[in-house]
Amino acid sequence: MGAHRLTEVELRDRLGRPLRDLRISVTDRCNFRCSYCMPAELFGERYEFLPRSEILSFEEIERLARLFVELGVGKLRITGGEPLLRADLPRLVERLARVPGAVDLALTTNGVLLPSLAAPLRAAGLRRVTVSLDSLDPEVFLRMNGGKLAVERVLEGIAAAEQAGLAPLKINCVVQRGVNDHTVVALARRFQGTGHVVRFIEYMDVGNRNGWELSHVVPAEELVRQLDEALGIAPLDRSYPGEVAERFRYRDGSGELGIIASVTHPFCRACARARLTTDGRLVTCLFASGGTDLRGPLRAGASDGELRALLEGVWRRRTDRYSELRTEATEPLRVRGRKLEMHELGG
Amino acid sequence: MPWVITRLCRDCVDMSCVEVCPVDCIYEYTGEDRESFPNQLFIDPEECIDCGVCEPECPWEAIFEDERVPDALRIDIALNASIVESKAEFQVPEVIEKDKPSSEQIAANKTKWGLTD
Repeated sequence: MGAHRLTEVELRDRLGRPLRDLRISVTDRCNFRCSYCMPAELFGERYEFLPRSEILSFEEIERLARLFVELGVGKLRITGGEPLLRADLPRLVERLARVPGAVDLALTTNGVLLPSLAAPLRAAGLRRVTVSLDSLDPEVFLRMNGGKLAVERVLEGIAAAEQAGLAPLKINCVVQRGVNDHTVVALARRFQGTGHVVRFIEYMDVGNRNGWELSHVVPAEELVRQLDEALGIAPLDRSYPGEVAERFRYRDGSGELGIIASVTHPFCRACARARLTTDGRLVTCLFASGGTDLRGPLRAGASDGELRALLEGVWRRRTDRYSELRTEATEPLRVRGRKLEMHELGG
Repeated sequence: MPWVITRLCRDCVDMSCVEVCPVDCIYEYTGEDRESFPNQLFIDPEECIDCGVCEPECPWEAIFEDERVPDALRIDIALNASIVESKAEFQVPEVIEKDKPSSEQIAANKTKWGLTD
């Protein structure tokens, strides 16, 4: 929770939800082409990368992060694209680690560049890292990331993070039926007893490109059953309200794992998360089709007070609850216009 | 859809792209045939993973996706591709910090190579 909150009354949106987390996308580029985010195989697909002038500078990101913390944000997470591809990222981490309000600073990465960056990031003040890893099976992994880089590279990244003192890590796996669902037990087993927490995420209809269907989702219940049969797991209480993962422990005491049932048990009701896109838009839902431009006012010389009022206004008007509505409709919803792509938002 | 370093790089050779490339696919020429391979950097299209990280780093704005290389510079697509044949004479250069050009210098360099915009 931001210690420097200036508002007299805690900021709440229309559905009574506070603002607690900010995910900051620092680049729209990635060295993977995962099927659920930036699929390479779509015919005629072109990625319209942002020109540099449209990408927020570190100074701009830091200023906005401070304002968000003043409004109640206690957790900052750096994402992308692949955030480690942003040049000089440790410099940004240093700046964000200094934001007053004792924020929890984390980063989500595909892990490939951790061998060279884990130590500098840790030295800059990063304490927590989440690595995306959808399968340990070399072929499945390559198929899922567009055939770019071998799974060993990610494992080397994880080892580098351990060495740099960033453990325990979270390891996120998006489960797709018929793609990697037969490899989840092996992934869980690999990290059992290491202290790292593997989290299995139901495949979501983020963006417009992945051809999502409900039949591609392996429901949490089924995953839990599968993991329990193979490894023996039991549920744990949530560690804080609004936590997106349902937590489980291995019955033999060899650690913890998580299930993020974003489709079958949507957590919109407790969603306290805002997102800042690479080009400086404030987005209040992963399934949004737009966002509020912050870069314009920022570069036009808006004062802190003016920017804070803008952020507050957006949050107060917030009504998003896409995943709950999707459940009611049981198919991807037609949103007005095009949804934002995952690589613009950082998942 | 690899990325291409065009002649806007010539004799400028800022190394920022080399520093950020996640797969070390940006090369300099070490041979004698300056006629064929002038003083600039090259992307090996077979190693490039299309991530686009190098593009915003180039202060000279010399890097484009192959399908978006301006007409005046399209000849450089083949030039980048031709390094694959004589790879022994190419190496990933050591990064040297260089002074960043002014916007006037960037514009003048573009005009010099026939780019108007």
